[in-house]
Amino acid sequence: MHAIEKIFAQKANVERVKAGDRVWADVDLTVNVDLYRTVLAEFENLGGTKIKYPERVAFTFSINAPAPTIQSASNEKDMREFAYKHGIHLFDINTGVVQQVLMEAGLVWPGTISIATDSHATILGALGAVGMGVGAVDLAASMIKGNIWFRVPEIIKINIDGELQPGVMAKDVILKVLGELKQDVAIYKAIEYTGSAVRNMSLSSRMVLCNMAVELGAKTSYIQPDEKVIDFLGSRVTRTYEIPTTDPDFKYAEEYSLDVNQLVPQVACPHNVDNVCDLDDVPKKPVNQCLIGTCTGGRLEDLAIAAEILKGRKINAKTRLIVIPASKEIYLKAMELGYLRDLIEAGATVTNPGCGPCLGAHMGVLAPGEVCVTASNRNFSGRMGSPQAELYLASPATVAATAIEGILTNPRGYLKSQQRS
Amino acid sequence: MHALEKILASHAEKDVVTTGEIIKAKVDLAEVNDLYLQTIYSFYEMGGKKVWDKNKICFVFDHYAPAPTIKTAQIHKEMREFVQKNNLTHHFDINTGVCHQVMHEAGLVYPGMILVATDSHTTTHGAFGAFGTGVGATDMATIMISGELWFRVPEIVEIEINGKLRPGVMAKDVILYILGKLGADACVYKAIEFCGTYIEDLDVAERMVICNMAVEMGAKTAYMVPNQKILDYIKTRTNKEFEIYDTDEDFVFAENFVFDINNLTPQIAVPHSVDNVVSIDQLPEVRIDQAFIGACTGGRLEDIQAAAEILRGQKINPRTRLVIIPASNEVLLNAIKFGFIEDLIKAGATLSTPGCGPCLGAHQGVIAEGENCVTASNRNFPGRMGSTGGSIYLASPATTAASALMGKLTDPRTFLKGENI
Amino acid sequence: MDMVITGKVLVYDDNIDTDIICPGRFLELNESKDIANVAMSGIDSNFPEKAKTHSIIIAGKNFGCGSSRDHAVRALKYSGLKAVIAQSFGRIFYRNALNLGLLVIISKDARNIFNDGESGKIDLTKGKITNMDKIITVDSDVISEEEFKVYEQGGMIQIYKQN
Repeated sequence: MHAIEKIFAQKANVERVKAGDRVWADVDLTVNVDLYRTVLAEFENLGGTKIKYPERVAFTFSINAPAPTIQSASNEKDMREFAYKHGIHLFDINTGVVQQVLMEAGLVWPGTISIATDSHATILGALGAVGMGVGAVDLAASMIKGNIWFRVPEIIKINIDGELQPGVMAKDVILKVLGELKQDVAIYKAIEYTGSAVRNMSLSSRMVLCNMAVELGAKTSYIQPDEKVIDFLGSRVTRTYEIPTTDPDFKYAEEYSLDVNQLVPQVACPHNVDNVCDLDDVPKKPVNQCLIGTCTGGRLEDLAIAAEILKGRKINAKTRLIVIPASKEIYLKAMELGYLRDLIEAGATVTNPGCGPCLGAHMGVLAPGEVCVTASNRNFSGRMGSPQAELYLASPATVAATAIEGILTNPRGYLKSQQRS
Repeated sequence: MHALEKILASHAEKDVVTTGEIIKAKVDLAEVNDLYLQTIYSFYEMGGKKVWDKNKICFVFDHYAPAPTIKTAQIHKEMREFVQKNNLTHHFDINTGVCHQVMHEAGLVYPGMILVATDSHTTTHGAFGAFGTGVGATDMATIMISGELWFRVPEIVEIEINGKLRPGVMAKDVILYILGKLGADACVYKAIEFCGTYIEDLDVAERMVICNMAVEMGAKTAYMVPNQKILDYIKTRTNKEFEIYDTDEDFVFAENFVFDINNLTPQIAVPHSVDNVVSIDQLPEVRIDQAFIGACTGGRLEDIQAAAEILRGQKINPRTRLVIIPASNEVLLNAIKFGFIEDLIKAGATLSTPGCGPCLGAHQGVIAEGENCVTASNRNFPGRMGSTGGSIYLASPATTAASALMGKLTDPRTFLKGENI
Repeated sequence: MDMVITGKVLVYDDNIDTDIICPGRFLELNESKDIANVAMSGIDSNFPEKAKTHSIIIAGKNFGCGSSRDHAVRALKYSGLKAVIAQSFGRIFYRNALNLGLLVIISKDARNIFNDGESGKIDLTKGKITNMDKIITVDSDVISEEEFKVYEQGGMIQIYKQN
């Protein structure tokens, strides 16, 4: 069996599972985000009165944080009262993006199953955990019963070998994968990432691959945990855990491989995540807004490379740069290391940790006709505001260099060090 | 004549003006904020083609920074186009801060000037010995075309404030106290000069708090004789030469009020009017859902410092949000440098982008029905910060911080180290 | 549940994502009718009006890709749609549709035989989709018995309720 299958089998309390099986599996962490006031309605609708395992349920407020409208304020108020009443974890507006704060808080470890009203729950694969996005009904059911049904997914292997050139980031890798394999390659399936490039990546970089697995259609993702994962979990997770492994005879549904030695910065052009080109091949047009942040591009290494590029420089007078650290922990570290100062002095607008304008809720919504280059994860029409705006997905390094020039720019010439730290 | 009358006279090229006289005066600086796209429409409707002086009109994006909706993004877009078309020298985009902070930081405010803005709190600039007043879109369009505007020479009221504040009591408490005594309509159409021993030695930031809220008494403008602290501050910002006008000894004020603040306690304006003011110790227990420190009244370095000193090493009440919006990026950078931001974030504050924040309910912390908010901002009208079913309590930054800590309205003097109430 | 569903169709391309079906700025809405009012607003502001006379969506591949928001399913369901036919569906959308009882059918070929406004017929038992104006029939995946039961009861939500 694959490690993912072993996780499903263990949580379903059965010996074996295989792709296509439907199982009722225990959920270790059930997460609702602030967009889903509807979960409370479904909880009631399903006859819920009590939460089976309050310590396994968390509400996170990162999207409408702080509330931009009366309606969102009212939704949050109801959800807070629900959280207080049931004694579940509440990560309020002062914490950061959903999965990032859950990982930092030690609520996720290898071998667990998490569900969230957040499609980017696939990010948890970077810790060797199964994270899956669901809707309000599944979430409410899991709160009440502690388990829900799952279809055990087929598993695809994506092997990534080679060494990244300076200025090329995990985001470029996953964009390249999207461009090659397209956004429906893994529908209903799980993705495991393997290979030397993945092994050599920082945990934060692996999170980028797993985060955007959902853009390939994947149900969940997985990277075999190693020392980097154990180091990260360190003092955060005090309980013991077993790291599942894949049997040597396991047969993947599909296997793909990518060599990244010669990879250059990639860009996903409007309006699809798999509409990917080499940055240098994209026609250059004026860029109105740049975004570095959120669950895809707002970790410390992302802010570090942006600060390295922008330190002592000024952003283009006709371009805005919005920077949103993924969490309070990251904000504090970026402040301590001087990155925030460098970014603000360069002209960045630094907001509170959270999702910012990534899904058009507030904090940098786009007007019709505007162009935005972003380190976030989706460039669908209307994602960040007007459907007549154009979104280009790129790495944090590319976004930073672009903010300086006001047109899509290769970050290579802007790095002070040749080697990324 | 009064200094304010001399300012008007000099800008109208007259030797003498008298109360009630209508004059046409030249404007030294006109500021348009991002609530007033109508100004541009009016400009064109009135036949405007090019602005009268590209150095004397500035645009500040603070109320909707960064844009929370497509509509506000569109407002910014059209304003940016106007700024570029007219090649305006001073444009403060979303990465700067509140107009009443960024203009003087940029050296655009000095004694003896006339400053007109599409913002009622333009009275703030009386702290610098300037004639600052708020207007609507039509008046502003007139200025943008001609550089001049009609003014009625106002009656001038003298408010003398004597004494020395006790620890834990701030300028905000002083102006709330005066508002409570005189009422919200005490100075409609009139100008206020603040004087007395308290004002003479007052710091720059605190002078601005007093003048900022003069408009809450209905005042057209406010005035303080520039003291050495103001002159020193201006010297670090601009080399511009200016004239300080003296009030003639025989000038007779329309009214005089005298206040002694030696024994003043922290004050609160309770819902729903700014003059509904009581001493904090007279209030029953009031639960606090959100506390807000920021904006043009309470977001300066001194305000953030006062909050940091109370919250350092503490955690805010888990059922209370604390939103902090520095008045400008310069304030933010200094607050980072002095460690205040670290103190506040560690205590649980949500620190967002410099600007107006939730003060007028546009975003970044809108309140829901039934919620109580204590705020260092300037207005507590029903619906000001969101739902008309919310309740807003105006207080000093220190009181706001103490209330966030305890989750209820709290006297900040409780937390003064080594001081007795 | 009817075994044969008929109605006028609306045709869409590949990768109709959840930001098209229900943009993020509307996710604060809670009431079904409010959510239905913004259905497909990323691509077609007249959709709610069209949904009064059209009851089947026919799309290309990866319909509903993107977010976990079941607002996307609600928006379509409460607009009055009877079914969505696509070459493939975003996984979470598919799951949410099953949960909420919006009929979703996979057909590789249906997209190629329809234009906007034509009349369609879905035969659930036979796995056939017919363009009634042109009289052309293509295959669709047959809905499993298990899934059919779910639909019949009004979605997984009803089954959860009974447990």
